Amino acid sequence: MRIVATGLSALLIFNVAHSHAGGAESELTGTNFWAFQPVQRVAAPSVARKDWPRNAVDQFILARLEKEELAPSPMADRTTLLRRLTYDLHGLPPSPTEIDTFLADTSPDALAKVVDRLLASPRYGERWARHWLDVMRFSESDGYEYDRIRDHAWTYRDFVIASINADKPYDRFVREQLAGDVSEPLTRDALAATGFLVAGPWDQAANVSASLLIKQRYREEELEDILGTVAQTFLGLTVNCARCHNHKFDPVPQRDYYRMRAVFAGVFHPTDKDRALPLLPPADRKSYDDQLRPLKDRRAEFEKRLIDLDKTATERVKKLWPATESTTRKVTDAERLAAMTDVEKKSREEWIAGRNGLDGELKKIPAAPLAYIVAPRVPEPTHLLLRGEPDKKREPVSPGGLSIVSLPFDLPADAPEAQRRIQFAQWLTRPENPLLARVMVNRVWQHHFGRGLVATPNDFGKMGARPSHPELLDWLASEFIAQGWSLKKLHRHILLSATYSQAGSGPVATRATASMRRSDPRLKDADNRLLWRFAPRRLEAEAVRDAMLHVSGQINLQMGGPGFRPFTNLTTKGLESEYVPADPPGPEFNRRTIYRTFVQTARDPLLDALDCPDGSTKTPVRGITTTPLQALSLMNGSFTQRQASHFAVRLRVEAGADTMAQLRLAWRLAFGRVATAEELREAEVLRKAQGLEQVCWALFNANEFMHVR
Amino acid sequence: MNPIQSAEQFHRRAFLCRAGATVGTAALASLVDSRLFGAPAAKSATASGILQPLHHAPKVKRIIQFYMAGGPSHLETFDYKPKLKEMNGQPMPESITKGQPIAQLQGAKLNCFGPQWDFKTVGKSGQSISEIFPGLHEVADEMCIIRSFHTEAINHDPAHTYMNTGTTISGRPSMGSWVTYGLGSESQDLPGFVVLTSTGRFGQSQPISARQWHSGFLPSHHQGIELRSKGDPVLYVKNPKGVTTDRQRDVISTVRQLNSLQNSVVDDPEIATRIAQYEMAFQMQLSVPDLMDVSKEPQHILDQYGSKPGDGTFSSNCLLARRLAERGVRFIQLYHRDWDHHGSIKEHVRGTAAEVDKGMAALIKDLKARDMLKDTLILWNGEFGRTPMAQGSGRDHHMKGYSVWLAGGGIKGGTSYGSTDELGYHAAVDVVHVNDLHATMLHLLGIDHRRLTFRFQGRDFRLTDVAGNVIKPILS
Repeated sequence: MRIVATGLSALLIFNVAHSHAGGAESELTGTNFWAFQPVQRVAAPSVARKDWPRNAVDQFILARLEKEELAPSPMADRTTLLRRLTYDLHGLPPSPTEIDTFLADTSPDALAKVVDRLLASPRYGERWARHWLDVMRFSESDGYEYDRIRDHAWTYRDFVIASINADKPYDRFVREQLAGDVSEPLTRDALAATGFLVAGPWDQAANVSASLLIKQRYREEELEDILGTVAQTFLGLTVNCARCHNHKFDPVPQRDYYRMRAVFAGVFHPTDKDRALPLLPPADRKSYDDQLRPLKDRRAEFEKRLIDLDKTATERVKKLWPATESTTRKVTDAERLAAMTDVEKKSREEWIAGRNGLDGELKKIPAAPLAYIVAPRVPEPTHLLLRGEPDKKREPVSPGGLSIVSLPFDLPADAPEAQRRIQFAQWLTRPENPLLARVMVNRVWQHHFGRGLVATPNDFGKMGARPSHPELLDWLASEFIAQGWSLKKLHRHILLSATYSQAGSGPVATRATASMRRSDPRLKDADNRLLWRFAPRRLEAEAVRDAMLHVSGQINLQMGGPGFRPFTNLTTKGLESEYVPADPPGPEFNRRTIYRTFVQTARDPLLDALDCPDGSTKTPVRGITTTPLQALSLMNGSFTQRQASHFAVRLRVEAGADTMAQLRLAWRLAFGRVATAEELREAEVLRKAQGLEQVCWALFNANEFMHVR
Repeated sequence: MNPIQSAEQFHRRAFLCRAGATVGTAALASLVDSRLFGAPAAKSATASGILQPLHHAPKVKRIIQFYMAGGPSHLETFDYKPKLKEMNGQPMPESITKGQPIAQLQGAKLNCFGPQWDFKTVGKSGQSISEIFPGLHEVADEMCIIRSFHTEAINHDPAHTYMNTGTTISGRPSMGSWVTYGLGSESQDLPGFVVLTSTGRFGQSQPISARQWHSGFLPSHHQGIELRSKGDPVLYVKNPKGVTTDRQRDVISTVRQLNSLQNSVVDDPEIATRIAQYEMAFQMQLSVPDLMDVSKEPQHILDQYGSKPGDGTFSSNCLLARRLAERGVRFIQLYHRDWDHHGSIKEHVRGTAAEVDKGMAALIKDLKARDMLKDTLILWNGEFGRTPMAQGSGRDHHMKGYSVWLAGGGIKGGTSYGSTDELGYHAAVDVVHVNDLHATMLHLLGIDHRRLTFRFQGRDFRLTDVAGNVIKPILS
């Protein structure tokens, strides 16, 4: 391998070992690889600059910087920090009141108070759930050419939001998604969690195919997708690569793939009639039906009698009318009533009372929400498949875990379906598993700093990146477990660090002697792998859209339930799907973007242009692209235009007639800071020439609006 | 390279980004003033690339790539193997297949599967091309067929990544991005790198990820822009209702002012990129509708391509490719996703060939008639070929030997280069690797592939990584 690299950067290159054969291959092979070693908690290193670190994170970061003779950046100012934190945890900008409160709070724990406030708000779960949905490729439609909508798949999204908001211990969160439908306690929440297993694509065409081989092939594809998602999401391992042969880079023998396949052999997407299952334990589903059915039947009987009587009475009235009249006017309620006998009137009242009584009884039975969740079947025996081919069965394989995680579990080949997933979930979440915690703390780190300590969050194997700070990664992993797998505590620790509070601009640039240059981090670590500054970054698609709604005052914070659907469905029953994006106004469509029904082929042009992934691909890291299409969407898109108008109305209402006050408020709402005199001058010129709406439009298009720094 | 040198490169890069933004915004102002108010646009210098001057005199200005996604069989298209026909149904000799990675056939009985279509000797040059390409027969004398091509990935997505970026590792820049990074764009009002896609009815149309035309670590405005073939080619390319261009100009000018006030505070090249993208977006509002409006094309041209305006077919995309080329677009990729013929290859390969044949031939003739073929490089390729062994009635993915062809400026037309073994398995004579193709493409554009580099994470990267040789014998 020929790599021309300089000093520090050479240490930080990843993905190079395999690019050309030879070199350091042997030392990486097999089980000695770092990711498979037990989590080693070492004490936070000592540092020369004792006054800088606020906690252990800072000691690890600073020690590394000092080793390279680099200095961290000064602290960000408070308004910048508040905006950064609010976007980070809520995906929304801070309100002027929140800014004022924070600036006025001179207590030493002012920052901690803000972090706690943000973590306690339900907006936090809505923000972080989206990160999770990216990783496990959440989608609310089947994909492929038919791409039918799964009307009730949103229950899984709500489960994720609720779990994150409740700070559900991560190990439990994981177990529920794998085996929530078969474990105790059997809650509605835990049932909804198993939407995880069936969130992937489902090929209608292959499933209805007459060919057994096509069906079998597709089934193997489906299982590969499920196994790949499970292993990458929770373990950062591309186990799916071992379907046809031993993993080429990681110590995952093909046999392990089939042991895991046997664990999930009973996992199936619901059949057509089960796409709307009540969120009840399977055993209770029948009794739920049994409870409801007689009431519904009786109600229907009353309803029928009432309609029949009305019909009879209507006929009687019409009989008395001249023939011409019966076509030109309708019979009124009063006329109908007058045409009934006393007996009929009495019956009518009884029936109405009976119907209303049943309505009351029905209301008393709490309605179970419907959901798209796993529909397990009795598993067929799993065989190792030569080259992954379903018609090349080899020896039978019984359910078990991956041998690389050296806590094997084994079940007999005929173990009950439920036991397989329960045991797997328990095996996966044992604290000795070196990968579960490492992979998750890395994801959290990634969303706070823009990149993980391991830059390939779904691949901790040999093809993945090496950790930039391996000891810190392990420290965080062990702390995460020690703190009861609490995500909120993990966030808190990271967010209160000096590392996180650094300014985005970096230290003052030096341009002098060679020796000074050598300690300029801009030159030595341009990519900021060592975190000598806070790397500014563009907001994700959802945060940009939500921020526009928030700033315009139009945001509808209604939580949960079926999503909104900003598209027209032109699909003809039984044919390939066709969805046309739309941008209807109205409160329903002003909900946060996470509540948008995530249909694979119903892409939204604005979100698309801002790199919102499609539902079928695991997206552990979002792309950040900048294209003319994005500019067009933000400039000319109807959504931006409409929110700009609402923003202007809001400014007039809240700031009054004083035009300068309107502009000042605009800055505080859109950018979370006070406008400079120069900026106000610019804005005023535009306002005078084109109106306040156009200033609002311009603010939505400004770089600052969609970047945090 | 020593650290000081790398330091200077960093400064230079940061400076160039900032300078680029300045040029961009100035251009925006002039564009707004001239075009929107009726004055003819001054034909200013084209947007410049990083290479000034070029490494050597270029042969071509642009590349049009017929990208046959799914992996077309070389054995039914450009590489006739009588021996394979002879051995149809017999086991593939183990000496050839032993230890070879095979995508889906791994472990299966490997039997020879003879070519399903006959070949014709065509053109003055006597090229050998399958009978399923009657259109290409007419332009055979323009084509140079390489029959000894090979790649290093066997499944679609990684193989696409290899073909586009020269590696299977995702996150590297695509070739179109490298080209516009090096040469800049000749178009003032369209992106330098444009992607058009179409699907057909005979293969599994796996979606192609937009990653395939991504700019990787190069500045993101070098990424390919996909023009949609149905509906609005680019959404929101029109002014919003009730918004005059005058008003839009004022708004954008304010955005530019606000951004530049901030850019002095935050040093982020990506922010400069955004500024330039607004300029391009503004220009596209005028140019894209004009580009897509083929109504003024004469009937005989429409007939030649066999396309109906707006039908989204490969043929229509060929016509659009010519219009893009005329407007100075540097790199035009036409993906046709219909070549994954695991089964029924006989009928399916003919079907897919018919979907692309007429349009390709028409484009080559049309460019020639306009005297544009001489400075255009045409490239035809799949992400891989297909096995000489049967997979039922089809063929599996195959990376060890397959065919690609080139035509246009600097290419020896009516020739072929290299060959596979007698069963069409391994590239055997004058073997050509993806990196070699990339090196040759860059060479024709006036670029030494070893010298178009970008420093990223401490290493100088290039499209050809650490390999690649210009295929000199195919150059005229």
